[in-house]
Amino acid sequence: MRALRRESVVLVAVLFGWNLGWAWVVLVRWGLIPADAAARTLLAAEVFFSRDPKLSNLGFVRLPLPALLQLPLVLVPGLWPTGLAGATVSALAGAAAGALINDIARALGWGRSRWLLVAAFALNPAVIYVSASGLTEPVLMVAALGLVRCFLGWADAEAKGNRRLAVAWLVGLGLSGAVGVLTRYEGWLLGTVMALMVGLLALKRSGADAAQAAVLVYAAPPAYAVFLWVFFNWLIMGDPLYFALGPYAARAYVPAGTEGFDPAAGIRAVVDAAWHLSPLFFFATAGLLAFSLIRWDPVGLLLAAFWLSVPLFIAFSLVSGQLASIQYCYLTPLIPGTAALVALGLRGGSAYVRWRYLVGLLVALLGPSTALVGVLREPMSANSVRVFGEALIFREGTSLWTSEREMAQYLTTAGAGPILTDTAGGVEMVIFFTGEPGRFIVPGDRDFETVLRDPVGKARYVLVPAPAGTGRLHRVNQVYPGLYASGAGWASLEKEVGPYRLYRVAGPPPPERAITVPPARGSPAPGWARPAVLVLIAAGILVVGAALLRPRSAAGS
Amino acid sequence: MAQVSRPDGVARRDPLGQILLRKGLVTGDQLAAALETQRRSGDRLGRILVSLGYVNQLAVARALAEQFGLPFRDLLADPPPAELVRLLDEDTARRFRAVPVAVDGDVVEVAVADPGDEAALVAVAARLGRPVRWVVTGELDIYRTLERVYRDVYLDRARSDLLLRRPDQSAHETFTGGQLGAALVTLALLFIGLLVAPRPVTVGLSAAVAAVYAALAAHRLYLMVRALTSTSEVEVTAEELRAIDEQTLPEYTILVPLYRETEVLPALLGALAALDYPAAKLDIKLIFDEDDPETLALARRLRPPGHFKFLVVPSGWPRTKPKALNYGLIQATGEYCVIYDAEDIPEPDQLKKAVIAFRKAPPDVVCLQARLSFYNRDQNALTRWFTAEYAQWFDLTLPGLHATGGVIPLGGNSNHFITEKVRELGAWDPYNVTEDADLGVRLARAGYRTAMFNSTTYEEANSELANWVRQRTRWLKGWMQTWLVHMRDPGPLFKELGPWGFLSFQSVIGGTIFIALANPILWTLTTVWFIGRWAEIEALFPGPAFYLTAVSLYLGNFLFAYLYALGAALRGYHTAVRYGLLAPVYWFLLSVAAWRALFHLFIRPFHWEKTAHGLHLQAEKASA
Repeated sequence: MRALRRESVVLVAVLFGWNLGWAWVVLVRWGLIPADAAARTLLAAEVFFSRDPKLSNLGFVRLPLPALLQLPLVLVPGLWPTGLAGATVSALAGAAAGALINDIARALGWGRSRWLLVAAFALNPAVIYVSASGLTEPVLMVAALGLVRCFLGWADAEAKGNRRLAVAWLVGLGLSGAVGVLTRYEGWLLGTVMALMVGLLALKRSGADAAQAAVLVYAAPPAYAVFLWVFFNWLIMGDPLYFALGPYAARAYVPAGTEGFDPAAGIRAVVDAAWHLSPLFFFATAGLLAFSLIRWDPVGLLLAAFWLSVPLFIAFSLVSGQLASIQYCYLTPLIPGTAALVALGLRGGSAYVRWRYLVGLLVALLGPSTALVGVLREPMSANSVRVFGEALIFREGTSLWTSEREMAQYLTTAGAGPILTDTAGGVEMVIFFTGEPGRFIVPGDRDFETVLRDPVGKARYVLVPAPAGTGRLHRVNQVYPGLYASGAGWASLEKEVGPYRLYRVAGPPPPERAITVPPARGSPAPGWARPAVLVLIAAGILVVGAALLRPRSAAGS
Repeated sequence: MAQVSRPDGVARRDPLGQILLRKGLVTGDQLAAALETQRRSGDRLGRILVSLGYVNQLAVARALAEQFGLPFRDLLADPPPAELVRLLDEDTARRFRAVPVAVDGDVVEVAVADPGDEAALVAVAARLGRPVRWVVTGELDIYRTLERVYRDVYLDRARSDLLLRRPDQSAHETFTGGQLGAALVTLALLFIGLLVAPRPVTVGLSAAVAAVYAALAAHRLYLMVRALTSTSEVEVTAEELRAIDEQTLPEYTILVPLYRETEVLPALLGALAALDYPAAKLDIKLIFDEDDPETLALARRLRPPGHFKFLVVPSGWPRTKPKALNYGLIQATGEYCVIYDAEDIPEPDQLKKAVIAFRKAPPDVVCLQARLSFYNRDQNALTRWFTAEYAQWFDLTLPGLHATGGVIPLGGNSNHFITEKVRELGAWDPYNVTEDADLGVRLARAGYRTAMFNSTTYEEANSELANWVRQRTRWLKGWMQTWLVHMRDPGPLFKELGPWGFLSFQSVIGGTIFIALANPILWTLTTVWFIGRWAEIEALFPGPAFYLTAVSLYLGNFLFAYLYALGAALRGYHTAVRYGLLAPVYWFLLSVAAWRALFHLFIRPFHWEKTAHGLHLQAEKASA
């Protein structure tokens, strides 16, 4: 056991170093930080460095765990504006995912051939990209692989009647599920699918009561995590479904981002993306399904269904309009999924040893190379991914976020004073590149609406993106629809870079970092409350004191 | 005198069995069965025959008298005067089962239970220092005689032993002068602080409370992880059980205090009779109270086998279970002893497992705690919650404490001790209403350890709300007493338990009390805030205190409820799992009991609120 732990620690350390090295190349040398990664890091930084520092600056649209994990890292001077704070988390998660693949394969009887699967994973360009750039997919991969590992452990312990070990694995399963549901919304699907899997297997083996108990033990942590997310949406934003229906939810971006959207094309895109990211996924799934049917192995069948749910969910989201488009990144969990499926398909006795080496080699060679082709082709995805692919081949960076960097540079050297803006329409990249979130008056600040209604004397500048695409969701554009095109009596154009325009607000400059925070949301207590509480406490103290001073004898009392 | 000379000149006596057979007191089959038991256990035939219920102790005594050519004396029909009994000290008398019954000049006539025990005879004679003439009597009659003569001494020892030896560890005094002083000073400072600077004082208090909650949750999480991931009990395998040689099994004392237990007594006697342990090696002491003639009368009517001994504790203050246990312990003869309550049904192999576990455990393990569970788990919601609570306690918290070297507060029964060690520790504190938890701490302070082992005793879960509240009030009051006693002088406590033991004591005992008392205040604050959103409540939790409190509220409470569910899952109590997740409702009842306990601590610290047993039987009758 100690040797196995040592192996995992060494593997994590090696893969972490590998990912961090790539992080330096991708983020520092090539400057290819994805918007999603920058956004998460910015949220974490705003907890401490915004004008109105508080934990709720993490926001209520993106799930909080990846940003939460970055909180200690953004306190390291200079780490977060480079994107390395986020990349540290994603690098560690990518390393942990690799170690989990190793552990899954080992648990399924693979010998040293399991390292081929780990290599296939670690060398996959899509995995390198997500692990090095601060994206959240690696954390979801850890959750998904954790679910698989713990499910296998639980199924095995339960079959052997080792209740203590089975419960321990169920706890691990629950924790993995909780990580998943707090990382990405795909995690909600995976968590739900896993609950069904646990319930079905326990029902088949041990009956309804045992199935209910197993599902409850597993599902309590992730279900509670979802409850907390919804609860805090209600508590702080006033709407329990703010994350789904609010102005910054993914739904809001659908009409804003996609005119002429074709669901059928979306499904084709999912298949295409999956095929190019990990063609072996389809073969591995088909192989595991076939083996599981022939051997009648419910565990194999359930785990095949588990991984299939990922592309199915993406496809469903596209068809139902929940997603405007997909990016390759969404499907990167299929890469470790392939490794896990292959390991599952070839588990068992020594007859599979040669097959393991052959198949492992195939996965190790094909996986990375097809993914490289895939990221270059990508029909519907972010520029940053394709640019990464090109940079990988041509060994040189290209400029990305040119306009945002230029505007940020300008803001950094321009005069002091708070800047009124919103994060939609790409502006969050500008804020990110300034490295000074404390200068910006954003919707997370409690006085944002007050300043927005009357910026004069409260803001020095107003920064707006072009009111097209997601720029239409920018709050300033919504309140002042004509500002971008033609300014206003109280604002004059200061600077234009690409789609961004900076307007200077007329009037005397406001105090730097001024914040006019309204009183706490709570209402004052009724007049009788304070004296009543004080009287109660005083009475309590007097009663206890009197009781202590009461004479007593040991006998008969 | 039936005496047959052997060819080598040594007198050979008729075997005891033959004598009894000849007198028609046993049948051939009975004798054969007893001899088979003797072959396995190696015990004395007379005791075996009595324990099997074939003969009574007087018949055995008469046969022994005949066998050894000695007179017989009936000590109940012809009781010896107390001053004669006192010629031999009580300890020697009890150990060697001998009492002086008459004096003839210089010669002392001594009644013995086993005239064949030459070592005993030599020891008694040496002790008396006078010529001795032996007579034979029944073993039980010797104990009854000793109890008659020494009952006041026993009573005095039962309630004063620990108080005289270690007054600093006796709960006879609820608060010491130092504790009173410290409490009054703290209260005064708090009062003044609230008058002069209410905001900083209340904010400071709320921050401190939040920090304590967070620390307690972290500790419980750690215990859970260690319980799930390490071997945290002494495991006795089925092979070890099968391989045990009964001849090597020692005498085992079972102490069963009984007070108003007529409902459950029949089941208890059945459970004890079903124990898989050589009956002749069982020293079962049913301990009654003089103020409860009904239970004693029922026990007599039920006529348990001869190895069940009845002890009647004279009435007197305090009327507590630990006083009864001490009374029984004084007369215990077993190498090991265990406590069972009236409603207990232990697994039949528990004693054998305990013996094997003691032999396997390190030498500093002087106590083994079996797990407790319930046989009426699914009776109603309260019993399901109770089941989940017990499961997390005995399957997660205590094993976690065991794995981490923490102090284990003992459960109320199924604690197995090395008898000599529990005497050395001063036995149970008769003034502490959770004498078990207190003894667990004292043995840890003395450098000994408690270990868990893989056996379970099933008992009755309290199924009626008021009865539950009374029981839990007593438990929490006892834990308050325990905490106060051992915190009289924190310095030696820290030194004796070590830093980790000290912290675990604070966390488990102090923390449980603290949470139960503080919860209603915090829940009230939270509820009022949710309803009215009073800014004053928000102001109580600024900055980091707010986040710490939020973590405790949202994560800490979930963790504690999850532990209940996990405990139930570990035991395979599937229906209790969902009740575990609903534990916050149950905690409300705990808080009611905690405040009641605090009130009782001041006005009736030693009062033992009796828990009614047998309610599950009434429920069964009602539903039948």
